[in-house]
Amino acid sequence: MNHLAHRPGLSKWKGSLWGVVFCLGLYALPWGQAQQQAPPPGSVADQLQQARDILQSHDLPEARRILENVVHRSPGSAEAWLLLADTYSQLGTEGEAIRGYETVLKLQPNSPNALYNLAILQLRRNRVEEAARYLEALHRQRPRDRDVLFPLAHCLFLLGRTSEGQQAVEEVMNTAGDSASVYLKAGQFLLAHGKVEEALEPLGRALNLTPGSDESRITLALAESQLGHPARVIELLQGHPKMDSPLYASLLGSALCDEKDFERAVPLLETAIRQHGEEKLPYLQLAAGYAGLSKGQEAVRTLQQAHARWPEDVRIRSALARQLFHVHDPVGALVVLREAPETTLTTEELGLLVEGYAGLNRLDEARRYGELAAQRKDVSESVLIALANVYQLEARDPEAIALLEKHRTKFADSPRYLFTLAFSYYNQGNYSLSNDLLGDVITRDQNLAPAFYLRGSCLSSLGKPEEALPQYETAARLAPDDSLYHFQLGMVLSLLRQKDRAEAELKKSLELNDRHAPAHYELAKIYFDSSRDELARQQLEEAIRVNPEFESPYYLLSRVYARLGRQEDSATTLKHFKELQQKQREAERALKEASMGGQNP
Amino acid sequence: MRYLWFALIPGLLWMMGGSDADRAAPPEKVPSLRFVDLAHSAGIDKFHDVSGGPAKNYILESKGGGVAVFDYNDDGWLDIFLVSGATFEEMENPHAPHPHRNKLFRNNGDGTFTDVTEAAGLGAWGWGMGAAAADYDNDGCTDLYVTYYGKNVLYHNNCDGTFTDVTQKAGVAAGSWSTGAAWGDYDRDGYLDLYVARYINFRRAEVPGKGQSVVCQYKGVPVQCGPRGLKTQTAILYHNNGDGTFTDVTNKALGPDVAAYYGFTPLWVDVDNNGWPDLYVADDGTPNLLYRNRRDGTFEEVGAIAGCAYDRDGLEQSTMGADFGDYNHDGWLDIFVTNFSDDHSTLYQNTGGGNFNDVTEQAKLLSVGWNNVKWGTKFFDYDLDGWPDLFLANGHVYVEADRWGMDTGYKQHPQVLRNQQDGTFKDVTAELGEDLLQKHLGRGIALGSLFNDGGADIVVNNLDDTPSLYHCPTPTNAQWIVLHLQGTRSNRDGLGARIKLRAGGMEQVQEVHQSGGFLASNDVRARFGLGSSTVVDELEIDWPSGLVQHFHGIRSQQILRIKEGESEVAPERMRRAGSNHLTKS
Repeated sequence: MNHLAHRPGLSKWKGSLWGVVFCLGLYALPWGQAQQQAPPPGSVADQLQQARDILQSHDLPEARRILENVVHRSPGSAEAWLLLADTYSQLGTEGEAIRGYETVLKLQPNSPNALYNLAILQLRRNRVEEAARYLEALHRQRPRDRDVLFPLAHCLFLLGRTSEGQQAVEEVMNTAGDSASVYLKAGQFLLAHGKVEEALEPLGRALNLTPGSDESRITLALAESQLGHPARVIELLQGHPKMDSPLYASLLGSALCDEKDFERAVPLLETAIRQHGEEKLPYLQLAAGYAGLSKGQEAVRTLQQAHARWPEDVRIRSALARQLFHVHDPVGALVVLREAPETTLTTEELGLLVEGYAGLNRLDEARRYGELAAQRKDVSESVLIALANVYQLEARDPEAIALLEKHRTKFADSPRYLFTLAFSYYNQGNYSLSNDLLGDVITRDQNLAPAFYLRGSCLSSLGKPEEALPQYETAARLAPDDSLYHFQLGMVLSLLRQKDRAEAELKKSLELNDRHAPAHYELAKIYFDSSRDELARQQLEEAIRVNPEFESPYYLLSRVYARLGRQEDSATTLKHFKELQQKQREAERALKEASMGGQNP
Repeated sequence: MRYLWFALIPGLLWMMGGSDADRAAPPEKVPSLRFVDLAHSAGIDKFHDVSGGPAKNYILESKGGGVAVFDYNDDGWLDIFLVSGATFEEMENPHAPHPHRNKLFRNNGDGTFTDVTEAAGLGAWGWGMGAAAADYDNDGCTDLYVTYYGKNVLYHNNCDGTFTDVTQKAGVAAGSWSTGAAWGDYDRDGYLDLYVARYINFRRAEVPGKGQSVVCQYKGVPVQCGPRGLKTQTAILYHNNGDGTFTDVTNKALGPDVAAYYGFTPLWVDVDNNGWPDLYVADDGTPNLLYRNRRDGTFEEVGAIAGCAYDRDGLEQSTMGADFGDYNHDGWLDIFVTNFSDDHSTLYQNTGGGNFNDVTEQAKLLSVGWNNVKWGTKFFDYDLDGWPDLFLANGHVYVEADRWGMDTGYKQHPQVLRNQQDGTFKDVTAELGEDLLQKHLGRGIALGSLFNDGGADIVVNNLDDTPSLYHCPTPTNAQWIVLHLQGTRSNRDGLGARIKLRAGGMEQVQEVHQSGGFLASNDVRARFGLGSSTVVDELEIDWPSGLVQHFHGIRSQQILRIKEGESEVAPERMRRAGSNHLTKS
C-alpha cells in the first residue's frame, strides 16, 4: 500500500472554508496501488505476494523483513524496491524510503509512483526545489493531470516562480471544462497562495456554473472581502438566508461593519462567534461594531475574550489596548501591552505605551517606549510627536529637536509635526528658528490657534512686541474661549502701553478662567501703574490665593501695601517673597549642583 | 549761604572762561553729532586686551577688562588706564614672558596719547579686571586701585608721574576674583573708603567644561559654565584709616550675615538725599543690593523693599553694569542697570526717599538691546540738552553666539539712547555715525571729557581687542560746563558732593563720583549740558563735609575748579604734554 493513502484527502480541504488552509494532503494520489501488477511465479514473486498480504494486515515490520530479503535476493526488482520504500514510508523512516524510491528511479527512471512520492517526501522536508524537479518530470509525462499540476503549482509558488505557478493553475482550469468543482479548487488554491485578485475569475466561474453552491458563493465573498470590497460581499451574501454558516455571518457582518451598518452587523457577528468562536476576525469586527454603536465596554469585553483565547495575536492585543484607551482606561491598556513580550510590540503599540505613560506622568517609561518606537522604520508621526512631547515635559528639548529634525523630511508637510518642533526650539530659546517654522505651520494651516500663539511668544521673546500683537490677536480670534490667548494678548498690549485694551483682555481672560494667577498679577500691574492701588491689592491677593508658590505677586503686593500705608503688611509680604524665592532658588541650586558634580556651594 | 562776590558783577564772569588754547583741537573729520572712534588716531590702540583663549572655555575668559580715565599727572587732561587680562598659560608660568599688561596712556592734550606705563610703574602683569582711581590719601594726586583675578593692587601716586605699589601696607589685596571697585567716603571723615565687589570663587580645575552640565548650555548649545552653579564670593568693604592703611569692615558695616553674590558694579550714591553715601551693588544672576547708610558706620540692605533689587516682577536679573543719574530732573538720583541677553536693561526711577520703581516699560526701554549682552553703561548728556542720555557697551560672552539659531551675535555694537525729555528713551545709535555700529566685545567703559571741549568721550575696553574711544564733539551752539571739585575738609576729589545746577529754567542734579559703568573709573569732574543757556543761573554744592556753597551767574563753555570753602572759582589750568607740573596741594 502506498503511504500516500494515509494523507488527508480532498474532502478535508473542501470543508476548510474558514481560512482556506493549504495542506500537503491535497496531493495524495493512490498511484502505488493502481499500478500494481500480478505477482510472477517463483520464489521472489511469492515473497512479493506474501509481503503484499502482510501489508494488508498492517504488519509493517514483517513486510519490511520480507521485502528486504527480496531486494537482497533480487536487487534489480523495481517493484520490490517500490514496495519496500512504501513500507519504510509507513514506518516513518523517511530517509530509507527516499533511498528506496531513488533506487526505483535508477531501475525505472520514469516511475510515476517513485517520482510523485519522492516529490511529496521532499516537499515535507521543505526541499521544494527537488520536489519541483520530480513533479516537473512527472508533468512532462502527464501534462494535463490536475493531480500533478496542483502540487507542481504549489512548489512553483513557493519557489517564487509565480508566473509559472499561475500558468500551472491555468492549465488546471483549461482541463476543467464545465467542472465547477475544478474552478472552485483553482480559486481556493489561488486564495491560499494570496493570489486573491487572480482567484476572482475561477471563483466567479464556479459560481456561475453552480449558482446555488454555498461553497462557491462564500469563497467568492471571502475573496471580495479580502480585497476590501464590502459592498460586493453584501451583494453576494445578503438575501441568502439559507447560508447560516458562521463564515457567512462573519463575512456579511464584517462587510456591514465596514459599511458602518453596525446595527445589522453586530447581531450577525455575535451569531458567527456563537456558532464558531475559533476565528479571530469576527471578534475584531464585532468589537468594531460595538465601538461603532458607542458600546465601548462591550467592545472591550469582546476583545478581552479574544485576547484571552489568542494572547499572542498582535492585532487583537492592539485593538484591545486601543479600545481601553477609548474607554478611558489607560491603565488597563498599559497592563495588556506590558504583559506582551517587548519584542512583539508593534510600533503602534509602543506609541500607545508612550501616550499612556505620558498621560500618567510616568515619563521615564513613556520615554523608553518612545525611544524604542523611534528606532523602528515604520515609526509614525504621532509616536514621534508623543515622544517629543515627553522630552518637552522633561525639559529635554535638545533631544526633542534631534528626534524631530531626524525625521523632518518625512513629515515636512505636517503642521502638527512642525509645530511640535517649533515648540522645542522656542523652549530652548531659539526664537528666530521657532518663528520661521511657525511661519511654515501657519502657511499649511491658517486655523491653528496655538501656532499663532506660539509665534506671538517667539516675537515677544525676540523683543518685538509690536509684531507679536497681531499673532496673539489671531490666536484669540481663532480660539475666543481660550483664556491663555486673551491673557497673552493682554500682556503684550500692556507692554505696548495700550493699557485700556490690555485691561479688557486680561479681564476677558479672567472671565474664562479666574484661577489663572498670572492674569490676576498682570491686571494688578496695570492697576498699580495707574495708582489704583486697592484694585491692585485685590488682584494680587487673589493671585496669591490661586497660586501661593508664584513669587512675583508677593513682591508687588509688598509695594502696594507700602503705598497704602500698610507698612507692616508690606514688610511681612516682602519677607514671604524672600523666603519663597530662597526656597525656590535653593531647589534650583540643588539641581544645578547635582548636574555639576555636587561641587558647588 | 555764601555767594561768589563777583557773581554780582555782570560781565565779569565772561572773563573767566578758559582760553581756546586749553582745548584740544577736535579732529577735523568729526562731523557734528557723530560719534567717531578715535582710538587709532589717539594712539591707544597700542593696547590690545587679551583675556584667555579664543574658545572662551571658562567664564574667567569672558569678563574683563576695565578702564579708568583720570588725570594722573594733574595737568588738566584726562589720561587713560586700560586693564588687560591674561591667559591660563601665563598664569601658570610666572617666569614666562608676560606680554599682556595694563597700560597707562598719558593725554598729550593734542588729541594724542603716549604710553607711559613703564615710566609710571604700572606695568605689572596679572589677570586684570577693573580699576578705580581716586585720591585716597588726599595728597592731591590721584591714586589707582586695580582689581584682579588674584590679589588686587593699590598704586599710590607719588606725584611725580610714578606710582608705588602700597597694597601690602594698605591691606587691600582682597584676593580671589575681584571685579568692580568704588571709592566713597561713607562715614564722611574726609577719607575715601573702598568697596570691592567680588564675583566667583573660581578654580579652573573645579569648573566643568562646556556643556558638561545642564547649566552649561545656552539655547541647546554647550557653552562655558557659570556664573550660576559656581561658588559665589563675598565683597569687601575697606575703611580708610586716614594713615595709608585700611581696615576690612565688611561684617561690621554691612552685617555679619553679608551674603555672597556674583558682584560686579558698585556705586556709591546718596539715594535718599540725606547727604550720606549709600551703596548700590549690581550683581550677576543674584539680586542687586542697596545698602542704606545708617550714618553710624553701618548699613542696612534694603534693595528689595526699596524696589531696586529685582525687575518689576520680582525676578533677579543678570546685571553687569550700572550707573545713576537724575534722568527726569526730579532731584532724585535714578539707577540704570544693564543685563544679559534675552532680557531688558532696567531703569529704576527714584520716586523719592530712596524708593524705586522699575519704569523700564514706561521709559520704552523694554526692547532696547534685548538680544545683546549689555555691559558698561553711563548716563551722559551727549547732545548737551541738559537731559542725561545713556551709553551701553555690548558683546556676548559665548563665542557660540554666532551660531545658527542663537538669535544674537558674539560681537555687538554699542548703543546710545537719547533722553526724550518725557521720561522715555530712544535708541539713536544708527543716527550717530558708522563708528558706533562697528561690532566689538564691549566690556568696561569710562566716561570723561578727554579733549576738554565739553564733548562726551567714552573709552571702551573691548575684550580680546583694541579699545574704542568714542568722541562726540559738542553740538553747534550747545552750551556746557564742567566742574572739577576739590575737597578740603571733604575728600580731595569731592566724591559724594551733590551739585545742583539751574540754567535756563532747568534744574539738574549730579553727584560727584568715579564709580559706575563696568569695571571702570570715570572722570570725577561733573559735566553739565546747558542746552542754549550761556549762563548757569545758580549752582549749589553740598559737600560731604556738610558745607553748602552757592554760586550764581557762571558762564558756560568752561571747565572750572571749585575748591571747597573757597568762594572763588577758577578755570581749570591745563598744561601741555611734557611740562613739569606736579605740585602737592
